[in-house]
Amino acid sequence: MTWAALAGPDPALRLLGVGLLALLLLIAVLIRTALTYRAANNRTRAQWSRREAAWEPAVLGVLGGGMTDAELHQLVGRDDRLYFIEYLLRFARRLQGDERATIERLAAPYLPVIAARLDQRDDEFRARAINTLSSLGLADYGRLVVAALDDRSDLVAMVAARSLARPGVPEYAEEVLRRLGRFQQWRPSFLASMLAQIGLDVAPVLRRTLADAAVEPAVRTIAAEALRELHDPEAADPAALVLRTSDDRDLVAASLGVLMEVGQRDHLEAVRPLIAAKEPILRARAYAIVARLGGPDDVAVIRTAFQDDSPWVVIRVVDTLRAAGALDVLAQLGEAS
Amino acid sequence: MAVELDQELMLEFKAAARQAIADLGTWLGALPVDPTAQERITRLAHQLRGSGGAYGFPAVSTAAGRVEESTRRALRGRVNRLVVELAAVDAAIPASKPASPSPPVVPIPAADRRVRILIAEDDRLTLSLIKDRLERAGHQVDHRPDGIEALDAATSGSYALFVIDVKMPRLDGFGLVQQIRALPRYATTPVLMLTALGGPQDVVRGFQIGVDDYVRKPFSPTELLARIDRLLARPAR
Repeated sequence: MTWAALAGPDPALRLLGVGLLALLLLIAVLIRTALTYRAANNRTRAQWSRREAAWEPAVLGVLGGGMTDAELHQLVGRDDRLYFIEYLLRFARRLQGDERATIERLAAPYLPVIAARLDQRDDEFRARAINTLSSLGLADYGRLVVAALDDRSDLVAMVAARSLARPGVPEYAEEVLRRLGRFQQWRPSFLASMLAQIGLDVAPVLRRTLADAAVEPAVRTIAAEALRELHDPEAADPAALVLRTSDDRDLVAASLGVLMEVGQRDHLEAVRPLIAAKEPILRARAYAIVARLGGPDDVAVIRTAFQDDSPWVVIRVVDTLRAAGALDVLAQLGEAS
Repeated sequence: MAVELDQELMLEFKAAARQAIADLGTWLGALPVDPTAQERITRLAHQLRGSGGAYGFPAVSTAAGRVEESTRRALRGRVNRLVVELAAVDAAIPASKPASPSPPVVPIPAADRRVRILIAEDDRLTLSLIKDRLERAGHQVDHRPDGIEALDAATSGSYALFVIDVKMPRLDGFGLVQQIRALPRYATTPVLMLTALGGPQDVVRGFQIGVDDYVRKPFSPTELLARIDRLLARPAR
């Protein structure tokens, strides 16, 4: 087939020719568009690199005491405010102490622009705004971040929760705990770790939550997991109370987990009945606690674990005895069984 | 066969040997070893103690003591880096003065504690923060973005303190500290580790291999500088 044939009288060939030309034209347009976008991206990147090159010595100058805030702010154009805040975020992630406070002070004049973005329809815009506000201005914008816990988007609410569960800042923990119920799509262990990272300052709130029968069991379970991660010695009493008063499997298992970490012999009385529990996980944990905290009188009780239907119960007991260094008991049980 | 040299010649040789070893990184820019370099090293080694025969670098292993195990591995892997110790050189050449008890160390006043520091850090912004603060304090700062380059710099240069990040490409901070500590001249040089790894095991591991102090990320440059000042002020171990 030649070009002359395409221009000939055959309508089918003419149509094919026109189609080919259109396709070539489309490809050319796409290539040109891609190249234009790429050039524009390169220009933008170069532009930001130039701005960063100007800002970096100034930010370092302010941090080092050789430059004033006003001198730095003069370098930030009106259109650059959002990007400048992003730039400061990079410093904030790397700094703590006085220098972190300095970065927050430098960001303060620009944060109202970010707060205004909380009205955006796009969830990701709002989530990003919450992250920025909590990173650079939690003291001034804490109220907005707490309000975001009730945002229509779970993503935004989770970003707010993570921002508020900051190490050494326990004052927002109760607000986060109150909304934990909405984070069912996240794993309880993740939520517990999120709370535990606040540190031991959050333990009193967690203990109250664990002991409060009015709170839904899923939330109390997360509180128990967090207390276990924190190795809070005072969590043993509310955990033992849960064993006596609740029949929620996950909550009881989490409370046994707490006692496994920080329980004392006094708590054995609450644990022993669970050796007869229906759920293997509860029996395994109860046996393990008795094996760790019990005395010579409990050897007979522990021996019954070797007749348990679930191999996990036996494994757990053996593991606990080995970890506790009770090798003589282990040998005695081994011989007996 | 040992060669008898007079005191002055020995000192000159010792300096030449040190220089030769420091230059190895450059000389061994391409494998196989440049014949001129090999010849120079061999000649130095023969002058010192006679020929040796290990690892394809007989002269070096004899003249400069042991070749590091890791270096042997690196050479087999065709990495152009060689770490050698000068202990044997020092041992083979008698000291110019009879041994005497070390004089008590007088702490250097803060204003005079301006030293050359090597930073091994792959994060550009973190590096800027540290470098800026140290330079404002009057220190001379070199930096390298990974462990291998930092080791090369430490081998060829001379530093009074190291600031080392744990997570780095090619050779991590722990490996770098071990290699640096294997160099006799850095056996007691302060090493401060900067790390996001906060676990006690990492801290213990660091102290076991010779780290003097830790700063955890995120960090405060003011605190970092205070710790560096303290390390520089302490008497040599």
